[in-house]
Amino acid sequence: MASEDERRGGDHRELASESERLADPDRDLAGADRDPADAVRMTHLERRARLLLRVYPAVYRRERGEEIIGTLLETSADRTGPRLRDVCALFVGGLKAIAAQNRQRTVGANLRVAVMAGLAIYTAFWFATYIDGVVLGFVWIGPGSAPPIGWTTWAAAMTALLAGATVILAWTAPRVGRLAGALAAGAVIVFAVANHDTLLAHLGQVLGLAGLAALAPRAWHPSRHWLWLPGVLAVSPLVELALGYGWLGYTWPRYALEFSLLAVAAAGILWTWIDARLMFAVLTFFALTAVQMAVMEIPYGLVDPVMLLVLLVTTTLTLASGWLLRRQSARAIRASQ
Amino acid sequence: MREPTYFVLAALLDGPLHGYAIIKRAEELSGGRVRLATGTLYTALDRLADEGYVRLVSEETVAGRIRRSYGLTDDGASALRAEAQRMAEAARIVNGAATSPRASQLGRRPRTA
Repeated sequence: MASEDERRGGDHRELASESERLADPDRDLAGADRDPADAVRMTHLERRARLLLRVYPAVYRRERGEEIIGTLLETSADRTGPRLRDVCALFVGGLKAIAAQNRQRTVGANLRVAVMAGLAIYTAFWFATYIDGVVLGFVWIGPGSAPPIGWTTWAAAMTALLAGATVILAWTAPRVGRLAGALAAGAVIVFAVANHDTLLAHLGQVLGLAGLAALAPRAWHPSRHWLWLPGVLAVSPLVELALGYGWLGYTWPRYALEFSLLAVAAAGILWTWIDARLMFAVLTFFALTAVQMAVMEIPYGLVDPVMLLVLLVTTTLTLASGWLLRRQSARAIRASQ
Repeated sequence: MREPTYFVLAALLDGPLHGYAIIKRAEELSGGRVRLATGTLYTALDRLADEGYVRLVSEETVAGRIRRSYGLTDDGASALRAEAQRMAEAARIVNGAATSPRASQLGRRPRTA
């Protein structure tokens, strides 16, 4: 906007005095002569305002956050908290700012982040089940039974750690992330061979890790907000452990994982009109899962019609969300030209 | 053009204003009908700036916070005038029809409000 300002010119001194005229001195929020009670109330109000601003993208908050908070405090000077309509407007404004931010990126960049997120969900989901296995290996289950802690438990733990590191580092330190991804993929293969599994049974995991390593961008960092997605899935078994194993039944961790994923999918559907990347990410997960399950059936010569239907639906929805994502990105490119 | 957008632009007719002043001026001009929420105002300002109707005019620090003033561009003033003209013509259709001979022929009583 500064360049626009320079282009169009303007008498800043005159406008500043106009602005000063409109700035009511009684509303000087940080004034030293304010009543201490007012200061406390403003602190509460400001804290809530800052919380509301978390909906906005970080870049937007850095640019406009203080200005918005200043205006909000001025309009709510006689209150301890923002009005409901202010809360709603800031929430909607934050969503629109996110959408506007997406429109500044190319289709390729948006797709890259979406696919990375999908692969991260896949990696977190399957390696959370590894953690689940590790927990089973270490924790006493039921009276009179203590499962042996074998090398497979340690190998699973090491593989899960490497996979977790790959997910985090792909977002934060791509070079190290690529190395961690390669190591994790290698660990999966070693684990499969040593465990007398077929490599096809771990194809999805290797593809997920290799994809994360390959897609981690060198020149820029995707928003770390995406890490909450795999984080929810990875933490599920740990939450289960904290609650006490067996308390809610042996199959509870599995349900926790699946319900977490369904919750993410539901959020993705609702969020799609703002940002199709989440939906695309979830569909990438389902597509990779469907491919893995289909591949598992190849050695047995089975063709499950349900699996074919799942593949068809997933592929259709992935294409639809990809089209929407392209539309969200392309509009912005036109607007910026 | 939506009503809040119209009054945001109208608020800037007399000169640049900062966020809070725009909210108060829009409320005043609309007779209290348009009470802009802070989030709505900044979403509208972003959009209007993208469309070239509004520009950032000045920045100052008040009470430790950045306060920006926004002004109407020539395009914004033209768009506002065009919208006002459109609404006036739309109003004329209704008001004119109410007092026209045809309205009487149809047995309608002209509105006097």
